[in-house]
Amino acid sequence: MTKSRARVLALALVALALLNPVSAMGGKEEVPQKIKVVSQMFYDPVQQQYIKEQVLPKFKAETGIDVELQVVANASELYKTLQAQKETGKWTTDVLIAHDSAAVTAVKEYQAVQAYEKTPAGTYITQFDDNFVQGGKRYFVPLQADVYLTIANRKALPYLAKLGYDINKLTWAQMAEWVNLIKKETGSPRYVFPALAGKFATYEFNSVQLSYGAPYVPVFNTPAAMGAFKVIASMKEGILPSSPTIDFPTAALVTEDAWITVFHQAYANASFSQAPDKFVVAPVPIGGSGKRGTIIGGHGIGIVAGSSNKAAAAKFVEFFLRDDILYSVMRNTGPWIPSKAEVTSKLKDDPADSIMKMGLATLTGPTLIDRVRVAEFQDWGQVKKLYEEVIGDILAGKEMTQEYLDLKQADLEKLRIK
Amino acid sequence: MRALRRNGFRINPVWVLLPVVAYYAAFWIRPTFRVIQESFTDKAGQLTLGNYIRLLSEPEIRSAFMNTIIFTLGSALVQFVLAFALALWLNKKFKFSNLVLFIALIPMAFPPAAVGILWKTGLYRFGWINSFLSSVGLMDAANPVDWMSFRNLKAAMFLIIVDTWTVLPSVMIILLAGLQNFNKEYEEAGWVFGANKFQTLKDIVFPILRPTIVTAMILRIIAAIQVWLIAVMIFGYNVVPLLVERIAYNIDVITFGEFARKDAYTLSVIVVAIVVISVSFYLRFSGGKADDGGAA
Amino acid sequence: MSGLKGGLWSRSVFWLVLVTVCLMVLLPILYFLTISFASNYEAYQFPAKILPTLSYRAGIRYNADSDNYTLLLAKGADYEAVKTTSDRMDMSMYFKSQLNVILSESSVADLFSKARQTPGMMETRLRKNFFRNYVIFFILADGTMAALMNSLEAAGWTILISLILGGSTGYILARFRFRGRESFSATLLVVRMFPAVSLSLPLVIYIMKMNLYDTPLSLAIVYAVPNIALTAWITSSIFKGISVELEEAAMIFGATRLRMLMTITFPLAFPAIVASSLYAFLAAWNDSITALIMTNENPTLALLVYRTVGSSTIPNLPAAGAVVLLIPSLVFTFIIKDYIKQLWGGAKI
Repeated sequence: MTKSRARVLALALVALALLNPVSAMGGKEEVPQKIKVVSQMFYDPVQQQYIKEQVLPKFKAETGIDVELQVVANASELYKTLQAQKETGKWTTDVLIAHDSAAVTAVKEYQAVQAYEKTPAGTYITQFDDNFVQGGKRYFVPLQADVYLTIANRKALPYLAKLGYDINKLTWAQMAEWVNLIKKETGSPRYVFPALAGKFATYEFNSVQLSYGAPYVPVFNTPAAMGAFKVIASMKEGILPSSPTIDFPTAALVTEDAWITVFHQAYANASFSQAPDKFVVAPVPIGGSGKRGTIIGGHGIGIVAGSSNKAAAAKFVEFFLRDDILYSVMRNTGPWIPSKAEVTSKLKDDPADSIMKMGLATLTGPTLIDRVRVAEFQDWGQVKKLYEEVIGDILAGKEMTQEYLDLKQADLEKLRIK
Repeated sequence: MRALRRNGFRINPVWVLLPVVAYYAAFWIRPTFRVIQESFTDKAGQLTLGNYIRLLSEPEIRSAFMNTIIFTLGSALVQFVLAFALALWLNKKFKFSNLVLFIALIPMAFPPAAVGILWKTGLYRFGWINSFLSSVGLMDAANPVDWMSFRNLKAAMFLIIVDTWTVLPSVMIILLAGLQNFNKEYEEAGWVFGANKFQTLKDIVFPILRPTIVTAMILRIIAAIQVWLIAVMIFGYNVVPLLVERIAYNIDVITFGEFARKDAYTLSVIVVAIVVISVSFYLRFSGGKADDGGAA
Repeated sequence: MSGLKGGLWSRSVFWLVLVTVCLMVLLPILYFLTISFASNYEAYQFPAKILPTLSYRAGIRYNADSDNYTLLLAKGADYEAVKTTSDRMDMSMYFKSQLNVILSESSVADLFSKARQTPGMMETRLRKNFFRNYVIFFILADGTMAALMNSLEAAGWTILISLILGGSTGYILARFRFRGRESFSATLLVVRMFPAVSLSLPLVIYIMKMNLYDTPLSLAIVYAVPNIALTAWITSSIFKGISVELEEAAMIFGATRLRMLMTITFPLAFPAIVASSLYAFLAAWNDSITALIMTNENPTLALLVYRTVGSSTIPNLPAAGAVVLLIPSLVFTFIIKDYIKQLWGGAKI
């Protein structure tokens, strides 16, 4: 290196070293009309892209208020954010979009959300009010609900036709037959059971367990639970062996590595929207109880108690819940089930609207449903791990015996909050 | 020297070290003490070995130990052999040696996060590794290998390859510096006396380069013990447990778990202990004094 | 030279090695760059392309019976139907989000009306917005620019702290013998190799008390711990190389030590100082675990990239993020390269 080059470089480095601290001390300018939304929803980049490019600019055009959207990956990241703000006393968040399973903690533990004085207009679903309404006061207004559903590549349909089953009335036992037939005829496993650590395996199992008549999940050693594990184990040959490294089924479905999955609707739909003509979507299969089963979840929107821009935050909530906005968000970032009767009553028949209706039918029909019971266990991550071990063991060929499942149940009981 | 001391500073120059000592007291010794203290106490602050006992009884931690050892030794060995061969080769100064050196150094610039993404994009079934293999006819495109389903030893091997890809240049450049520094005449004297290449290498090049090699390898080993990000980026948490990966897991995934904090503290102590032991090994083996300085 | 002089056999081995080494490095990078330019649709195509594409060979078919349009994309010699709709807005959104093709609703309407007049399938070429992924990366992470600034700021502080404290230590170690010097240097060696992760956890408590939580300065405090020691080591070896006589001569002519340092020692030690600040830069730039612990709303770029990977099921966006992260460290590494060789000359720690 020549000396002059070194000198220029050094100047740059010194400038870097000196200017940054100075600018940091200069303090940040206050922009009054800007709010920050922290959200557990819109985790996928495509969803975020839609909100940031289509929705937030519209809000800005109507009200002149800038919105910054920060998406958190999971509940513990949300709590970390809230904890830091609570401890330092500096609330930088104005609006919170939380999953129903995190709503109670956000209110009780972090006092992050304030109760609505007046509930925004509209007829909303009530499935999550046990969490969203506390002590008679409403803290969150539901935005959407989601259920599990079946998504299949059209290439898989001829095999189903061969068996003579109807995808809209499929049972789990038939699903197993279908998956195994495909494996037999194509030589490749085509069902993806995403089971990356800390993600969705638990809920995928839970949906099957509910449909087998388990009244409460998580559970391991009841006959219903066992029936569910056994039907998944019977599909073992047809399940993609890399499933435990997969977080969401999107990539596997779109590349056609996998043809079938039963998964959380938002993520199943991410693959669907990539090439809608290639896929069909159907409700979750029916289990041993003769009914469908699914975990349901939903997100709610609330105003942060410590916010210094409450008026702007309230405007944002009102905007976001408006029929046209809610519909376009639900349609383009999901499709999810919109929380508002005013929106669901106007759904049409195109593929995206059909998925919303299918979800609504599953949610409000005779389906056996349960919720994510994070609050009842010391460490939900450890609970998830138990289920992740089960799918690992199933893929490794382990028998789902009563003994094995009793051990798992004992581990589960240890995690329960007494 | 003595004259200088009297001339230049009015005070004892050692006082200049005071800010450094203060800095280290505040930001190194105090936190280190705190980590150790946390690891030996329970939540109520009572002295206990419970944290260590709990950790050692967890199968993940045991496999994290094993994986860390396999990864560290495996990568050190592979990297040493390849880096040494490459350095010997590039030291010959052939027509394109500078260009090759330039190219070979590129991976060194990759931050671990970028390395993780680069290889993850390759490991998907539809990723570039399979794409390349099938385009040159080494693999049936209809039946691609599912690299991501690799587990245990196979997955650890893959991490070694990925790690080697990115750190090989930094090992090589140290060895190359050693080779270039070392008097060429030694080697030529060897040839004259009829020694074959291997003997020259074994009897002359190795002994003289020994301190360089030990330095490069200890640096690698210490860095390898702390590898976690590439493992998490490629396979996700839990698939290839490593010691520091466990720390990150406790912090990032089960943040609010009952023992998450304690486990992270205790694992930190374990990692520090391993690193400090490695450093002292280095000091014994190299026989060098710590203060000798590089360009001496 | 022997590699070139040998016979055909050794020459072909030579070329084989040369090509293998270059391919091992360049091939992954080339594929990786291409993926960073791929649309969502392309990112999943197998086999992946080695060079980025600029446009798609596509077709639009009007389905008279259902009065809607099907978009088909070329796959090998065939076309694959990907999206059927009658809604222009819907199709325009699909182009944008899945194909990185920006077409307004009215351009889509034009395409539709042409397709309507064409019997069978109307062939067309759709031009890709080449840098779309990079644009999205910056849109998605509102914080990308802020994170970039945080990384730079953390690096700046790290350099500042390391140079002041490390440089002065290096000078003292090079010029003076004092009691405890040996053990002091041995301690520095241990610090240099100390895993930063073990410091971040307990430090975060103090950092919160100091009201520095979630700031780049707090990161720099941790990064500086090993880097002070590294800087001390690098600079001390350089100061040793600068002859004491020169300094003495200056001082005989009446210069104070400070003045002598500024006019003689410092310019001579300049390259080493640059080199050590580059090391400090890279340490700050590459870290993510400390940032994971010490920041919350103000992450560094490396942490941001780590997080977007977690939230993405598609390799293209993370790849674009990684390229953004990569460029500065690529530049710095190649500047530092010459110094590394100098520094490792005698290769002793």
